[in-house]
Amino acid sequence: MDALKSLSRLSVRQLAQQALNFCLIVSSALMIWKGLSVVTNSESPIVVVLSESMEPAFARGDLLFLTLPSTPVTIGDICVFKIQDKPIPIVHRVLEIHAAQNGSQYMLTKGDNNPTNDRALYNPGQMWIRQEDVVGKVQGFLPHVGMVTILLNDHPQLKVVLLGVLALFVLFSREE
Amino acid sequence: MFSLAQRGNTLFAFLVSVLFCVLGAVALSGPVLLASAPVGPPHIDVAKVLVKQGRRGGYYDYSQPVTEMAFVHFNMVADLTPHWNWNTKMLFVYVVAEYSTPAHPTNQVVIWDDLITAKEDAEIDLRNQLSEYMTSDMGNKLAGIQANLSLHWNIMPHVGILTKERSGSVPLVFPKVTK
Repeated sequence: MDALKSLSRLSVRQLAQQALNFCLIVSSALMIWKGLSVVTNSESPIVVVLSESMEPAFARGDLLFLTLPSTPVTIGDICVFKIQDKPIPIVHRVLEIHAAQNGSQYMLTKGDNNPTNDRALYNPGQMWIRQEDVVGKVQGFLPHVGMVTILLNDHPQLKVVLLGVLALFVLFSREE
Repeated sequence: MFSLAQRGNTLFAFLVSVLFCVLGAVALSGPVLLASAPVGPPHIDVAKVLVKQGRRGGYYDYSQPVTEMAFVHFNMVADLTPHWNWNTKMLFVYVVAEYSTPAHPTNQVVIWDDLITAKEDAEIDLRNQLSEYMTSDMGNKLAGIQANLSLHWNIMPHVGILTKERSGSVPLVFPKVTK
């Protein structure tokens, strides 16, 4: 076991240094994510498409970049919204907007690849999406990259393997 | 010093950097190409408008009040081929009816849409096209309201930012209800 030998060769200080390096990587990833969140004003600035309802625009595994601008949603925008009490957000296009005098919007959405509008996906009796349901507006697009997270979610054991390999690499890679 | 893993790692890192540089260049070129090839104004005219009574929501949903719904027949000639470049994956083309009521100052309803996935299809010529989605107002009344029809399109890129444009504006008045 080469790996174990090299581990035993490391002093306590070196081990601690590697552990700190590992923590630094994890915390900078978290900071980038949170920083993006602040800049875009969206709780999840990057989302992965999970369904085929927006084909051919968005396929399963595509990455979407969201912002939540303070300006109202305009017609034809692709929005990510949440239905109350349903866990998974939906990415669909806004095809109808009625704005009241105080600026509050009533919106109807539809997936490009779906034959009908989304009223069947809303809660029973719900006719409209409101501004507070909108998590973000799709601004940018990067194809296929999100397939990694879909794979990791479909096969949870992969996560352990990936984390283990990464941790080993960080612990054992030393600049000579 | 130069193990296979190290060489592999360096090569992979280089490939990924090159890939993302190319993707970045393509993403940046999209808006530039769109701006350099403007689309001429479309020709839209309203052939016939019918207002009927019905309910919003599903057929089975009798909890919704009876509302006035408009069905629009329109003609449209538009050429969106200039907006077809290497970073155009799809054009989402839609015709919007916009109107204003005292209770709701801005109302925008898509009455017809189309997904264009090939340059040849970006030349649009519609004759007496019936609206795909009926128009209805939250106040349940449409008759007598003055509206505008305009053509909008959303350029979906292969990679990069999504852009939207609009053009043209044709007046339209919703007539009395036909029984």
